[in-house]
Amino acid sequence: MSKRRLERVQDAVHGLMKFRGMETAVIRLLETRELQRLRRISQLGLASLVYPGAEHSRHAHSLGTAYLAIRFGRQLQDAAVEFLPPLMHPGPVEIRDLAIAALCHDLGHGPFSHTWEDQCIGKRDFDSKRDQWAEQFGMNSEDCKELKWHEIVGRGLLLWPGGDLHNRLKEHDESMPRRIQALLGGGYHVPYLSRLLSSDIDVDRGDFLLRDAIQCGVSYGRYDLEWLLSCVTLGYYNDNVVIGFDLSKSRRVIEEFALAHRAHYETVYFHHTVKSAELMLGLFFKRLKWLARERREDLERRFPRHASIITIAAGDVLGPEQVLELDDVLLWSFLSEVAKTPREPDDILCDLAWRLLQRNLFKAIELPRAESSLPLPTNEMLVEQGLRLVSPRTGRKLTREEFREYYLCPFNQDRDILSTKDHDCGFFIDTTRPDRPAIMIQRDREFRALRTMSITTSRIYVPREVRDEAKKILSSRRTAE
Amino acid sequence: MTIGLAENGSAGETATQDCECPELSRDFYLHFEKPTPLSHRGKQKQVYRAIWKPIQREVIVKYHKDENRTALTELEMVAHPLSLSHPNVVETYVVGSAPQVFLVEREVTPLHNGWVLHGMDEAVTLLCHIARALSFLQRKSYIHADIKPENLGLDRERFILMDFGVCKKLDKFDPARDEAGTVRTRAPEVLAKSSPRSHQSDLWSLGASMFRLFTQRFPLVLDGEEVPLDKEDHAASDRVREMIRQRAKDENLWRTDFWRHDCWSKVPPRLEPLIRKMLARDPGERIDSEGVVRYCEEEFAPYLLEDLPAAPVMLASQKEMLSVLRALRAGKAGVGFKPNLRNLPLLTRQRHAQWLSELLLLNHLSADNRTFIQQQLQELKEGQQP
Repeated sequence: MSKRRLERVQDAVHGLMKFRGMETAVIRLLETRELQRLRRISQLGLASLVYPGAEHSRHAHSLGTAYLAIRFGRQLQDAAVEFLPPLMHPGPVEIRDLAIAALCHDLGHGPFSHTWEDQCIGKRDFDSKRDQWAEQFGMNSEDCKELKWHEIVGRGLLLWPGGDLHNRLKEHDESMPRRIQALLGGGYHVPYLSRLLSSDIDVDRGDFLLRDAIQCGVSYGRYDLEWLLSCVTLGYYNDNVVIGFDLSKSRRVIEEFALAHRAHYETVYFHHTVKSAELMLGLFFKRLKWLARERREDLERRFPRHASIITIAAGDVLGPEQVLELDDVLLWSFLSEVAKTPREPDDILCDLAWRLLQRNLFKAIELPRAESSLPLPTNEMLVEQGLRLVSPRTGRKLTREEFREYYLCPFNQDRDILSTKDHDCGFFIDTTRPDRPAIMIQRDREFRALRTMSITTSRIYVPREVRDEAKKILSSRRTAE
Repeated sequence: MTIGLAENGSAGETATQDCECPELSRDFYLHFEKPTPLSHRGKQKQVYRAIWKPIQREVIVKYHKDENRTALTELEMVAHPLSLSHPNVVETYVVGSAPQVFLVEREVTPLHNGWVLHGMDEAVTLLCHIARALSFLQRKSYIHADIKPENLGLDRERFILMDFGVCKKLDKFDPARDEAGTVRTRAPEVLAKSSPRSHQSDLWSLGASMFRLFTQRFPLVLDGEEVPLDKEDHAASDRVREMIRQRAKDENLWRTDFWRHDCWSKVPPRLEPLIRKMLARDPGERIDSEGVVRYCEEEFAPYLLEDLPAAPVMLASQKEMLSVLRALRAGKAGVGFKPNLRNLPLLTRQRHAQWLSELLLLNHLSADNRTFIQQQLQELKEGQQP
């Protein structure tokens, strides 16, 4: 037996991660610019403002996900041999591809991860520019219709001929970048492997639930990973081979996983203070976009080192080289530059930046679900109080419109625990039957409750100075109604 | 008339073909059927493709024409290292009894003369696998003496060393007389007759083969020069052979033309130092096969295909073949397995092509299935176009 090369990495979540032979390609790819950039992008965005330990990077998460992909892949090799013909077995090349795809699945994230995409890029703005972004990254618009910004950017970076990552993948063989893209987006020659990268129970969630829980210091995200690994297998759903979990052995661990997922969202991702910071960043960018439309050249002159941020705010798209500049460091330094002078370029912009830097965050007032769909309180008393108590550091009096636009923020979000779509749902596999049927987890009797369980949050965020008055006004409004 | 393969693997009638090889003995037909000659008739050693009756699969059969000759003598020299199997040495069996014994080899896809290596995965895997085979031979004190691209084969992602026709024990080579093996990949010290054949000369041949697979030229053969083929016996070929020998002796030419040739730009930069060490003019400075294996395992682990299943059974069962065919059919219909053939990794494409080719060898295959498989093979070939 030949002695295969071994690379070892110590990790807070998985302990000693070992990569053998072809799997060491993962370690080699870490040296590329595209993946080194992920060291400078926080996994949990602004959650470190609430959980001081939550400063781990996308880089650590990506490496952990790649390691999990290898472990799941090896289990599937054993499962495939039992009942699939050799053509459909995941071989060493396929396992390596899977690990690399897992490593690259978050390649396109911007500063502060989802916060950037939700608050800075913005869904509506992005939808209007989707084709331009796709073109800039050499992607086909048709293929990008359902993709988010970070997915287009990530897959574009894989195919970018000028990129380190692309060229290093091509060293293996010419088709490798396209194969990795196919694994992420569908069309891989062993099609069932893609579900390991994106589904209710996938390697991405498998890593971040544990990692975020450990780093934040919360107990909710834990589940029995080793048992979950031992239950992974293959079955048939509508004549397609799918990845799933042994029905007779995995019910409890799947339940544990789903509940951990829910608890994590409630306590960490949707934490009211975390959301406050994210929404304030969104307000900052809202103001920046308005300014960029009015005074782009002025902004570019004032902030030459942050040209890429100004370009996006102005509604233009970036190329791959410029996207590689985008990281948390750039955004924090931009906030810092803006906050320096209270009057220029804009006092509201400066105020919002200053509040973020000082952790002077807006406060949340929980609204009953029934109120979440109502228009923002137009109660003149709330606005009057706001105008009286809130002003930028210049001392200028805000207008009513400015207060409503930049100092009042509703938040309303639903999230389902289990997917309702075939292409990314999780499966149980009945291994006692020769036809190995797969059953969607959410259709299982015991798990129907999980299917309908969703996290619903409705709040309104106001500056700290206004909180007490706002509470009084909102509760008196409810009483009157 | 042929009938399609039924679900349970049973078959109907088959058409029989008339044998066109009257020179073959009764002993041959005891073990084999439907032979197709592969070598020039009249030579001492005959090579055929035929169906090996006990397992009903096509194999390569080699034997000595002269029945009176004790064929065991040659087979002792040839088969002995092969009887101790190694995963990177062609699977070989000895069939029959003295005086007429047959050497049966599993058919492996050879790397034809125009084969070009695409990417480090294929290059490193090929280099390491063949170096392991050479290391195995070295431990048994054998020299292959005919390493060239055509004697390297691919069998389901495993590279195989083939054709041990001139393979001998180290002490059996006579430097004064030895002209065995191709001149295209012959080591310079053997061309110049300054040193006997050695394990290091095999390494030079492997290095020359790798050079050829990257650059499409042999190290000591100039651009546009007609390469003498082994089987030809022309005076012109002798002249070219002599020129190549002179080049091997010319130190200046070695340093300038060969070592600095533009062709080296086609060798991947990461592999260039290793290939150069294999092509060192002085055998004493050349890296050995163990060194090549270690280098590949340590420096090129991300590219090296390992963890293959245990050495493949000579031939898959019909049941296994049926399941492969069923899977491919399901994929074509858009159900289950959907191979995107154009995006397959190179080695996986070759593995699929081999499976498909083996399916075609099944005796009782319906016309419809045969057409389907041929279409799939065509798609795979098209996917290989750059």
